[in-house]
This record gives sequence, structure tokens and C-alpha cells, in this order.
Amino acid sequence: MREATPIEFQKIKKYFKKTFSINISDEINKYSIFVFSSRIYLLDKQNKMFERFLTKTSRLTTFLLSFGLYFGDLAPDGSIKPTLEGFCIFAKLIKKSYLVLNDAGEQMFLYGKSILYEGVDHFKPPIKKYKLIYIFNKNHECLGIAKSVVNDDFLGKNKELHALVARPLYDRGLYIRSSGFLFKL
Amino acid sequence: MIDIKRISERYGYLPYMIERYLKIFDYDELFQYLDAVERGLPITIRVNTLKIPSDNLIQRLNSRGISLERIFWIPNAFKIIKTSFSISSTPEHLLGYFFIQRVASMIPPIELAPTTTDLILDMCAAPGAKTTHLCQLMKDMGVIIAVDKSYQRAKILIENLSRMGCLNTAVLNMDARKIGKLKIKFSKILLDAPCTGEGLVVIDKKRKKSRSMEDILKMQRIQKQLLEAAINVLDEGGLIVYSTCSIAPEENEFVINDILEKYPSVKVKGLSINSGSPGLTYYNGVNLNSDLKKARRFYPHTTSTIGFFVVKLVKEG
Repeated sequence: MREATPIEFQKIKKYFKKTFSINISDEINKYSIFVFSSRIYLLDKQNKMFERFLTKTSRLTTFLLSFGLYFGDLAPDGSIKPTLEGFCIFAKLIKKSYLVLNDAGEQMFLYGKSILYEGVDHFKPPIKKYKLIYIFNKNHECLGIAKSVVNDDFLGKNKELHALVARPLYDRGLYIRSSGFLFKL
Repeated sequence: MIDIKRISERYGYLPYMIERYLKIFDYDELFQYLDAVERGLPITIRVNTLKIPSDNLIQRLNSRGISLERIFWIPNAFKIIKTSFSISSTPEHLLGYFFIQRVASMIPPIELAPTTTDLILDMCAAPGAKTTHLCQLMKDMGVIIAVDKSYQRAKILIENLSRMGCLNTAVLNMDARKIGKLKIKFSKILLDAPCTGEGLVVIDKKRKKSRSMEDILKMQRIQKQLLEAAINVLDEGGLIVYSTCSIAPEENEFVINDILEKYPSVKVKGLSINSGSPGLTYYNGVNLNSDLKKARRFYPHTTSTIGFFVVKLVKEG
């Protein structure tokens, strides 16, 4: 277990800037970032006790599976692959390029189904084809991440209720469906 | 003359279980217990106040047509009165706003009374109902070391910690009996010990016939080993809450009785929750430590819970 290097820290910031056009600097500064077995974990900076405990207790690592918030993975090529929670902690920063689902759409998405036009309550442009987008419910709670298959021009003009809008990548329903297989540890 | 065979046939239990129940309950109470088991229990939830206030959640669930009733003796606990679909599939559940949890299993974390500066050990933590409850009571501060022997179950624990938004927990995949290897001392320990699950018969009727006396004794050995391991890593003045979802005295009072004899510095402390029946101080011709009356037993017919046992132990300096 080690603290994330400044380069890794920059990579995380860059990933969110590039993928969602958001600046996560203020938000991520609330956390201490650690790397363990190519996985990235966040600890609440206010909880100094946990950070002190982890860094002083080397015997723990033999049996350690996870700690704090499992933010994502560090791929061998150095790229960042966030988990669902890794995405969702920055959801409040998303002010554009997202879909808000209606109740039926929310239910289908949480069952792991693709998002159809009839399930979209509204959207915030720009939506670009084949890009990752945040998915919210009507309370603006982060339900997950999907890949759009249409752009906002299509969403504005379409009249076909069953038209495919986005494919799910991570949804909160995975917690129930995975039963221990959500994370590869 | 009590016809044990007839009672066991009528209610579908193995005769040895009825025989043992008659050493816990008198004749009338035995039937109250057996009838309550047949009636079953309502589903109960604990609101995750780390993410949402209770009132807001109840309002949201009400708007989905789910009726709930507050359980007054446990903070943030509610029973489901009416629902036309599985509450586990609601967005509120998936967002980590509540945990579907038996009322009895909410008692051990409350009795441990963790603070924001405690270093807590949760010895058999998966799937995480009690661990996430501890985290909630600690306002996600302090440290919880959550241990589970099963790799697969430990992963479910991690998923639940993520869902409930718990950041103050480290998950270890190890046999908690070897916790001494870490050379760490804990201020408080929760040991919800593996057991035969006899108290779960109210929600899983197969258990009326699936456990033998050998199973009980096998679990008793493991429970004693776990509790000894806990005592050895507990700070002086520290607290252990031991619980099982079994009503078998062999897995509860007898385990504690042996520990009290072996470790004179360990004492039984009274529970803060004023519910349940006192622990047994006499069973099957054996007198047990009189302090065991401070432990608490929970039954479907007395507290509308699964069969459960809780005791609080303090290690004096």
C-alpha cells in the first residue's frame, strides 16, 4: 500500500476532465488517495485516525482486500478505470451532458437494461454519440454511467419511443445482481 | 406426561430440539414460541442516516406504496407493513438509503456503542449488516477492521460498504481466530459468531430438521476459539459484544461461562436495551455463572425477532 504519486493524481483529474469536462480538483482534495494491488482507494481526509492506522500497520496488507472507498483500477497501461462509486462521488459536479430518466426508465436501467427514448425524462446537452454520460433519476441521484448511442440532435427530433439512446456501463442495480462479483479483487 | 414425539411431528421439528426447548421454556411458553415461529416475521429495514434522514426515506417509500411502521426500541428501524413488490429492487435500496436487516441483528452494534475515535474489530463481518450499522453509528469516522474468512462473502461485504457509503472500514480476508497475528489492540470488538442458526427457523423452516447436536457442539468449539482470540486482542477496559442467531445455550451461555472461568478479568456487563429475556443461569442440570442473567435472549414470541442471543463483556485492567 502506498500513497498515490502526483502523476497518478493528475491522471485521475485528467480522466474526468477529458471524459466529462469537469474539474474535480476541489472535490478530490477532500480525500487521501492510496494505491494497493493496482487498485485506487480514497480515504476521507477528515478521518486522520484511519490514515495513520493504515500507514503504520504493515502486517495488515497480507490479508487486506479493500479499505475506504474503492475508487477504481490502475490499468497496466497506466490508465484509470473508475468503479461505479468512483464515478458517482463526482456526480454533483456534472452540470451538462447527462440524461435524467423517468420512473419507468429508472427501473429498467437499474435492471441493467438499455435506455430507450421513452425512459428519458429530459437531458442536458451536449450529448455526443458513443461518449460516457452520467445517468440520473428525477431526484438528480446518480444511477450510473452509460454510453450514448445517439446525439442530442437525435434526442431533440426523435418521435420513436423505443429508440435506443444509451447502453448501460455501470448501474446501481449491479449491487443486487452481482452478489459478490461486482469487484474483481 | 409431555409427548415430545407428537409435538415434534405436529410442528415438523426433530424431537431432540423440542426436548431441549422444554429445558428453556415451560410448557405454555414452548407453544407460544412454536406458534410464533409458524407465523413468521415481517421484513425490517435500518435507515442509513449517513445518506438520508429517516423521515425523508419513509416519505419516499410511502410514495411507492410501501407502508412502514417505526420500531420504537431501535433507532432508525422500521418494519414493512405492506408492499406489492420486493423492496430490495427499489432505487432507495440500491442507492444505499437503507439496509434490509433483522431487528435482532441491529442490537449488537448499538450495544457496542462505537464512537468516532474507536478502533473496532468486526470478526465475522460479511455480509455487512452490522458493519455498516457500526459505520453509521460512528458517523463514518474512527476505524473498523472487518474480517471474514470467506473470500466470496468478503466481496459481498465490500459491495455493501460501497453501497452504504462507508469509508472508515478496511476489509480483511482471514480466519478471525488468527487475528492475534496482526499485533493490533482494539478498543471494541463485535463478535457475531458463526452458529447453527437455530434462531433463524422463523424465516427458514428447513432449519427445523437440518441441524444436529453434533453441529451445535462443533460450532461451540469455533465460538470459544473466536472469543478467546477476541479477548487476546482487546485493550484493557475494552468491550466485546458477542452474539449469535441461535437460541442453543451450548452456543451462548455455555461459551460465555467457560470464558468467564478461564479469564477472570472478563466480566459480564448489562445491556442498555431494555428488551428480551435474561440469559440462562441454569440449563439441563448445570448451574452457570449468575452474571449471565445480564445477557439477553430474543425470541419471535416475546420481541417479534429471530431467535437471538447478545452478551456484553468487559475486559478489566
